[in-house]
Amino acid sequence: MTSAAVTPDSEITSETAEAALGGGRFDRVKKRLTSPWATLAAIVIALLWTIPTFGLFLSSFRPADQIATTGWWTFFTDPQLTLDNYGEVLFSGSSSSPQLGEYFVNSLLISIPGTLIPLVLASLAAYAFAWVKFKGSSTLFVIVFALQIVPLQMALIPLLQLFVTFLQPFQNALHEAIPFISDKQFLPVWIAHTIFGLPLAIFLLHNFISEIPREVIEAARVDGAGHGQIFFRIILPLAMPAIASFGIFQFLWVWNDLLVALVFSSGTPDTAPLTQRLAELAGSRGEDWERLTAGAFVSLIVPLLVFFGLQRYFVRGLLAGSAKG
Amino acid sequence: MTTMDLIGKVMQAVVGLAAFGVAMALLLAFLDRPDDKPLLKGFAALKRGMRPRLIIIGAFALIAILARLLYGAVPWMTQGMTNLLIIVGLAGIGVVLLQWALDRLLQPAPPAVRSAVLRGIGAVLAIVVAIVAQSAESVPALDWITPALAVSGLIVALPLAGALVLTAGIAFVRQPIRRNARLLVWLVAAAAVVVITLVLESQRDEPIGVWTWAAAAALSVIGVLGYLADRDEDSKPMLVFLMPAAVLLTIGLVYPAIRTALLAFTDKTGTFNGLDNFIWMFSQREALITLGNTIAWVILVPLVSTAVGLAYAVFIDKSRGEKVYKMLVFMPMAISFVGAGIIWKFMYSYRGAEQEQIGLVNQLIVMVGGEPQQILQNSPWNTLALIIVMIWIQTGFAMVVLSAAIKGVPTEQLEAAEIDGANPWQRFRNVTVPGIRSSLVVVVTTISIATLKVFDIVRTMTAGNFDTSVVANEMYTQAFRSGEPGRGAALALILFIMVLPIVVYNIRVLNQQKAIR
Amino acid sequence: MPLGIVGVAALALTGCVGDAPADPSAEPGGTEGPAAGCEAYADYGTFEGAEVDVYGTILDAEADRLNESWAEFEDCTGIDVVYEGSSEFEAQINVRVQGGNPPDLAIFPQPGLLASVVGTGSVLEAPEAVQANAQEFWTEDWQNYGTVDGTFYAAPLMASVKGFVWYSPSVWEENGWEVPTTLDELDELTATVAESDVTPWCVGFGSGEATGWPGTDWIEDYVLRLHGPEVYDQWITHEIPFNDPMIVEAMDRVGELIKNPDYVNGGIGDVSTIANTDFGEAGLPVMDGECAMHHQASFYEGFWSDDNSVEVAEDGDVWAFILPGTEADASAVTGGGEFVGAFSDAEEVVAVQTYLSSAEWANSRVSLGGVISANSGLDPANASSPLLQSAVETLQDPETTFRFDGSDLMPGAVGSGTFWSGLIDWITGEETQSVLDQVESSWP
Repeated sequence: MTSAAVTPDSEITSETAEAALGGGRFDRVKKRLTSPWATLAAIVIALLWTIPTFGLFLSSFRPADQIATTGWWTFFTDPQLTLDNYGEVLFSGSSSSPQLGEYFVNSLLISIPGTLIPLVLASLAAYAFAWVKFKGSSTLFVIVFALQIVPLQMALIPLLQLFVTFLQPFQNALHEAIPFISDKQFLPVWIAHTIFGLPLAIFLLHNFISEIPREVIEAARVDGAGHGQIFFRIILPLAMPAIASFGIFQFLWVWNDLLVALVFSSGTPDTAPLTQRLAELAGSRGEDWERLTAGAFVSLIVPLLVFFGLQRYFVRGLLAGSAKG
Repeated sequence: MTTMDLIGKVMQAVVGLAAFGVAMALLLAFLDRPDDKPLLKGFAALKRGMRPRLIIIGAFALIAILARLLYGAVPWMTQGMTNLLIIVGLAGIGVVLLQWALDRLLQPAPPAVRSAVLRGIGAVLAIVVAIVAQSAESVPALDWITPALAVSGLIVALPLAGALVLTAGIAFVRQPIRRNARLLVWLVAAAAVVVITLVLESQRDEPIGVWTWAAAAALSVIGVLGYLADRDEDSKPMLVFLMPAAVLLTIGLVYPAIRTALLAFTDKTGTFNGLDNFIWMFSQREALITLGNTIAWVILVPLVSTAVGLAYAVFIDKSRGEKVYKMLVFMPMAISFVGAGIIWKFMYSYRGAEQEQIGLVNQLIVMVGGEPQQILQNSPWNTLALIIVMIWIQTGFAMVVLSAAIKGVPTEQLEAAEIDGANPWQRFRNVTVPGIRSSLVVVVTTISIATLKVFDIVRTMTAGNFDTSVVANEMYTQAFRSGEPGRGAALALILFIMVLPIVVYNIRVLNQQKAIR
Repeated sequence: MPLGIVGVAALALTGCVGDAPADPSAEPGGTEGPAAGCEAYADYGTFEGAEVDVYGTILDAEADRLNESWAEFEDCTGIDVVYEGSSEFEAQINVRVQGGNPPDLAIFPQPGLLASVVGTGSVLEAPEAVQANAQEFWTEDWQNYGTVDGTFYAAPLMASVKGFVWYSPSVWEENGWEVPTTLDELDELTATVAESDVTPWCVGFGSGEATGWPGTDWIEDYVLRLHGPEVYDQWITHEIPFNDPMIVEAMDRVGELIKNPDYVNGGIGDVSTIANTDFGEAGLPVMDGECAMHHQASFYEGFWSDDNSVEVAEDGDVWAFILPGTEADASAVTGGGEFVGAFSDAEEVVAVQTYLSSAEWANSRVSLGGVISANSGLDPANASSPLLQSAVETLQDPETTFRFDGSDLMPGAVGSGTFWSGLIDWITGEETQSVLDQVESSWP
């Protein structure tokens, strides 16, 4: 085992690791793997997957009556664009529902803790399941795994009962002590998202964490590292691509969630997220659905930024060099 | 939105995350086991770890002092807030000092003594909680403790304290008697909480609420985890790693799951009605179609989206513009189900043959000379049309996860295969696929389960009409729209049965992995 | 107006009472008298800093008007009425009630839903003042819709009249078509129109996850008109089976119109397109002269254009007549409405509930436009358009037989379940009898 890339203190980034592994041969591998046909296939898939979104994107700039009567591709022969849909979505603030900005802040404040907390708890639990020997580990893991199928809808009412009896008095007390923190808070939404995200998170992260070569961990144990040190110095850095991937997905689910927000947020602008406002924009009878085309893109921006931001963690060769298999 | 509101909101997030971080740090502090550290004597022992502790103590003291100074000086520092901050400050200092003292005093002590002392402190804390809860009525600062909460506190705290004292006593008994006795104590404590709740509830007018039940569940979880971990010293940390997740899952999912299972055998007034819900389910004309559709979904979606996602991930791996390629296929994931529903309703929309088409799919059909089809209405193709939507969404998931896995395949293995003269396909088959096998299993499993649970797509696009319904959609409709929670729960059980094969398969894979390691 | 004495405990339930004394209304003259313009609200008392949560289905622009309608009341009484609208109300109200977190007041869009929530035991009986208002301003029928098992829980709020048939006066004038006065004349007219190059009807049952409800309106209108209110009541309360021959007859009669390939679906396609055409778009071909008639409730007025460029008037671009009866001048209409139920009996909640059941509120809201109310204290002149004025007059006319939308009164499993999906099966080809048998077997 060449431990250059895996020892915790290593400053070597993946790029340098790759370079160290011999750039010349590396380039040849790359050439052969991406043949023209593969590139063509990739472009076809990318096109197929993008066209529907692109259609929606164009539609979001078309006048409402045009969307309903002609296909979006007629834009190319008869370009008619308007910002009305975006104008309505972004600036149609009113007494009952203020402008989108406030909901945007709410969505962020729900999504960030709603992603970080389950990630931390799940990586701890995943490490325990993967690398701490104890009786019943497999059974417990299977139970956690099977919990994924408990339908969210069935868990809403019992959880709400718990929150009302236990969390509500606490929240009210907090509000009375610190008046500018509203009595309608994000806390229940965070906890709910954490609970609902945990089974899948533990399952996914366990898979990656258990793939870490045994030698790496045993070497650390021999050096006298405890579980805490192993977790922070070895598991976390090595599992970062997996954690980042799951972080993106958890963020997406929380960001796009409507059901949990409806039940556990107050529903008022104090805590309601973007999705709730967008659902309202469609109108009582769904008559203003063309606003949803613009709304869908407004709410798409943040997840895409997160995706770009975390993409640097999806790096090649973090485990490269470890003798495995 | 006023600035004050915004500050309040952001403060919630900052304080919330900070509190979570502190809680996690405290939990992990227990991992820092004394035997890992060199044994020190005298001042040297005291000095070690002094600086960070002094800094923390200083910070807590500063909070308390600032709160007292600002009270009356600025309008937003209310009396309640001052009290709160002073309590937080003092409590923080107390915790740090206690931990310090324990760390030093207990280091030379045998594990049994350590365990007993810690449990004793826990018992004292539980009793303090009980006293506070009982005297809450007369203390103005504690007026937020409702009578129900006070009763719950008492019901939970006393058995908890009892259990802690008993287990502390057992600390000096030898294994395996100790282990079994402790499990017994915890379970008895949990049972005691339940019994006291039931007895008290029958005497009171207002219900106590579900909190005591959750506490009983938590006590059982602690007992079982402790039982499992007590076998050897090395397993102890497992408790810390698992505890937060286990407690949350028990409260938030295990309890609802049990409740759902019971609910499946009741009617809407909550009385037991045997198998009526299941009989109703299968006497529906469309029951078989719904089941068949669900099976079609759960087979097609995972297979196709994983296959496409894998192919795409391989094709774009290391290519120029990989990030952009990835984002294009990832984008559908970032669109909410409602947004996806709108997009695809556009794609599938239908106008009569004599009119201009507004849906792309029908436009293409017309362009190649076909008759426009009512895609969402013509069974069974409409189910396929809905499945395509789900595939469109889930491929991004498969692609991102598999792409990360592919990047984990050791480069030397690929190079070695190349030197051996393997062509790209052989390299893919013989090196890449085995290297990412477990990720493949994970992706297929995750997408399968997500597919079984998805109902938004069906709801927004066809509302389950035209023979397109799936079990999850029926479940939502029955439980929430029709006010028949029993029927909804019965359908949820069916979903659970459908996922069992996936669970069994994963257990097998898991065991294989364990065997290899 | 006696508001009743309530305990401090109830007041505490509403949470945010702030630092106000528990019952300032006991000494209204304490610091200052009622402000100018507030005389009308003096009876409600003042509750400085009190907050009342109201939860309902009304969204966006409509919600703004709702907020506007009680703005003056808020200023004068000091109550902050916090309205929250949700498109998921029907599901969420159950979740919140069972989860122990109900709002103070809920605006129920259907009596059936009200009844099922009352069944959980958490809705409070309407306070005396609300009962008095209900008896004064609403007909017995309307009061009954807010009554469950003999107890009056919820006063009606707004109303809508269903069973309008929309048409384009100019197209009709060109072709010499006359507004029919009986159902038979309607059939004849349909046949006449079919001979011209205009399709008689355009229909759309699509409505997202509620797809099918526009069809139930058709059936209900015909049951009421063909067999009268008694049979209608028996049908929705399941005293006669859902598949009774009379219902089969009514449904077949509808089928003769909208399942006939020659009569539908103007400007959209064939019969089967009805199932998936969105109800909001279905009527629009009337304006282009592609179809002659469209059956939809009074609220469709707002659907013709976003910017009011379409004039809704007897001599304007579009106009509507109420679906006639078997005989001329038989006046029977179906309709819908909302009901305000309370989960709290705090004084400020009672005050808001009372205000919402008053004629003052009805006038305040209706004059903001877009809706009507069946409140008899409502001045029809306040209605914002000629069509709404005629709808108010219809509702207030003592000769009118009014029946609530039947599917809203049936148990949810049928009224918003199998009845909807059954109609989709029916319009895509299934026989009337087998559809009705299927719905009957699903009655819980």
